[in-house]
Amino acid sequence: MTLTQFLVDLIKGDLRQNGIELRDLQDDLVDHICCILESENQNERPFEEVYQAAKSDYFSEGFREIQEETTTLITQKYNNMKKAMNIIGLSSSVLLLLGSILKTMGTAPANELILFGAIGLTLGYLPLLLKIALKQTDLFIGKFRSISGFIGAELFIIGILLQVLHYYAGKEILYTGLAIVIMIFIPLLIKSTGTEFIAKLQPASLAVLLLAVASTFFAFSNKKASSHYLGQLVMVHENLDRTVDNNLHRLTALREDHEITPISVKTQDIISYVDKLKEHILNSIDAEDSSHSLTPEIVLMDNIFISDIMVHNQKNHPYNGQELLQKLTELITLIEDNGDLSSESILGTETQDSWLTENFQNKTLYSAYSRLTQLQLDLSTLELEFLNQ
Amino acid sequence: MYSKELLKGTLNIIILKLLAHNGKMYGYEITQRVKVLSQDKIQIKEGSLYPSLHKLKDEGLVKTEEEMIGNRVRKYYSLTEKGKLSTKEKDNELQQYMGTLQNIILNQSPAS
Repeated sequence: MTLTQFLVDLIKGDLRQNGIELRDLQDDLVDHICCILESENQNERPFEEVYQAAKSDYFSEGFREIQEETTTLITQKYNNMKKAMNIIGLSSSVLLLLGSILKTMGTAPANELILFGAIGLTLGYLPLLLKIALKQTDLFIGKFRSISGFIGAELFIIGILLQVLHYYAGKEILYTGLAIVIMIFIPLLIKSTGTEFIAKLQPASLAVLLLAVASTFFAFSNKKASSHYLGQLVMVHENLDRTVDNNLHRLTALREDHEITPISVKTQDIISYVDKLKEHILNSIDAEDSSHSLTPEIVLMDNIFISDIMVHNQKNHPYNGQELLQKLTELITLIEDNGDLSSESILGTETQDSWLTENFQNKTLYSAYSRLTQLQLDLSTLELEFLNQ
Repeated sequence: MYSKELLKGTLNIIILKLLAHNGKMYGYEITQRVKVLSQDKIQIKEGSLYPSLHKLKDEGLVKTEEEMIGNRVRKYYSLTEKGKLSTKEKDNELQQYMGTLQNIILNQSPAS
């Protein structure tokens, strides 16, 4: 008896469903099973019955065991690579976890540890894992599963890195990686290994997985803490701004009762100039944002500097630090002529040039912006003192 | 029937020797041939045969050629040149080992 194409396909399908992913092994087993069934030559019994009997007689430990034993023997020569891979994976995950914990505590060298951990996982562990995984399957779906897992995990770790280091695309990359792992890799893994897929993972891979999950947890808790911290910084600036508004309100009332003096004119001129300067700074960051106020996103921008506006006075900046400094110097001259007021609160005791450099050169956007608001507060307070004399 | 442990260490040389004698064989044929030659005392399990065959192929000791049998593929295994040399070496080693084993077992006098 020779089995029909339909029955051969049925056997092939059953083998595939039971974890035989190496094409050579699949061909061997199909032929072997066909030989057994043909030698039984029991035409009177239904195929399904004969097939199940042959399976339990000859393959009592299941097809999957044969695939696993074969891949174990074939990948034996990669044992050193596997050891190296596991060492890299474990040490990188520990670095990532430690870095994430230190980050939440705001302790150095958190960023360096996270960076080294992420490099170890993305450039060391995962490529080696992919190389070994691709050796264990010839099926398109198997290769697709391994590659999707690789890409998902790579994006996931890069996402954690960017997220923890406060770069913008971090969250999107992290979620994309997570989506690929959850929606493509894990369903395909469960489909090929059954529900025992966690038990099938190597202890080292499982440890790497757990550490990566723990790092994610810390990354997110750190993000939450950072959001809270950023919110507090915004509030500090809002309070400063509110105090300036109160001073200006009081000044409006006081100015009505006094004669207009050059100091009042100059003070108001500078406060207005600083308002425009601040607006210009925010516009240079995001021209479409019309709120003209500090947000947590702006506070986050620790790599955007406004030295070119404030220190270098480029021609294309209508409002700039050099002009502000000139106005402040003129005010100081007026104050010194008056004799009853101290100009120290405005520029401090530094030289004029160093005031710009020290307050605005390589300072974060938040720091520089807050310094300008502080200047408005100092000026309004000075005028209040002057008018109250 | 011999124990699994005894068979484990000798499976590769059994396969290589069979291929050396018969030229080319397919998996099912190997199991049947071993059964006949050993008078049913050695039964190679499918779960051991194919991993070993694939390991030998991966090491370059055996090669395969495919043939269509009806509507399925049959893979015939045969020795490569490297496989032929390796079979001789393993055969010599096994003969020496069996001789040594025999000496130990037969010349072992009971403890007095």
